[in-house]
Amino acid sequence: MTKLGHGTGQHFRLRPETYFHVTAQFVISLSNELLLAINDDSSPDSFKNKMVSPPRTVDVGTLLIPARAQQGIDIAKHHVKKGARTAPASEDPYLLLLVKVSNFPCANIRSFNQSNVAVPLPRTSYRLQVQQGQVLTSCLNREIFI
Amino acid sequence: MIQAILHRLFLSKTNRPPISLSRIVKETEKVEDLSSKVVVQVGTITDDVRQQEIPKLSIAALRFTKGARERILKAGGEALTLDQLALRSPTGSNTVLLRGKRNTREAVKHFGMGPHKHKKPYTTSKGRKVRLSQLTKFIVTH
Repeated sequence: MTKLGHGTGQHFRLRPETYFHVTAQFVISLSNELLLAINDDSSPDSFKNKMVSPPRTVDVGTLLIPARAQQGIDIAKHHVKKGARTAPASEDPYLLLLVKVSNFPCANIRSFNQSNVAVPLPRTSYRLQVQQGQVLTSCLNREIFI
Repeated sequence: MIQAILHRLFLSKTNRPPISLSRIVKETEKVEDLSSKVVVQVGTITDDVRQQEIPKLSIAALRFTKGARERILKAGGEALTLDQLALRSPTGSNTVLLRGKRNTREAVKHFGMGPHKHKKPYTTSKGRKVRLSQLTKFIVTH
């Protein structure tokens, strides 16, 4: 499942049509699981055991919306002071794809910086830490750190 | 660098103003070793007829106007999309990130309108009074 927002981790955009291309793999793997469950009679998830007819078409919309989002708890909108966008307002699929492409190295940089700043390393590995340095930080942070 | 691009992808169209070829030429005058670098603009690249000659440039942008693309290619340069740029330099190395001016659109000329503010009035008429005031302004300034 793709997540475009950030913060509490419960912010999902409920626009299934925009997820269709990018999560096609996800749908295929899920439908395979469903097929296995249908064929296996001993499985508790079997449609025969549940007395439900197997779905002929996979409803993409309902499959892609996570259970948490369906429950209606919207913590992401409370106490959010930042007005900056965390995703484009446009639903242009090409733009969304570009965001994905450029978000990938950004996520790497974020995790790299976070791991270096947040976790205090023991003194023995201090030299290693300095050698690694920071990829993207403010001048102030770099001074304190090195 | 790549984080700046990501941020700009989120922006509205007003905040992603276009940039012209002449402006790119002007801004990249003092960049060293420009031939090995890519000029990046998250937005539109437009042509500028006032610019007589265009050097060989590699430009990556969201979109190019027809004239701009023709002139870039004619000069032996490249017109790339941002996903092509991501393949070439995933971290954004060897790039020059530019952006257009946000305050040059027509609506900005009207902002802060009032007496003695010298701002552009919102008028639908182009009648006698408007022409008179324009004439008066012309006479006063010259």
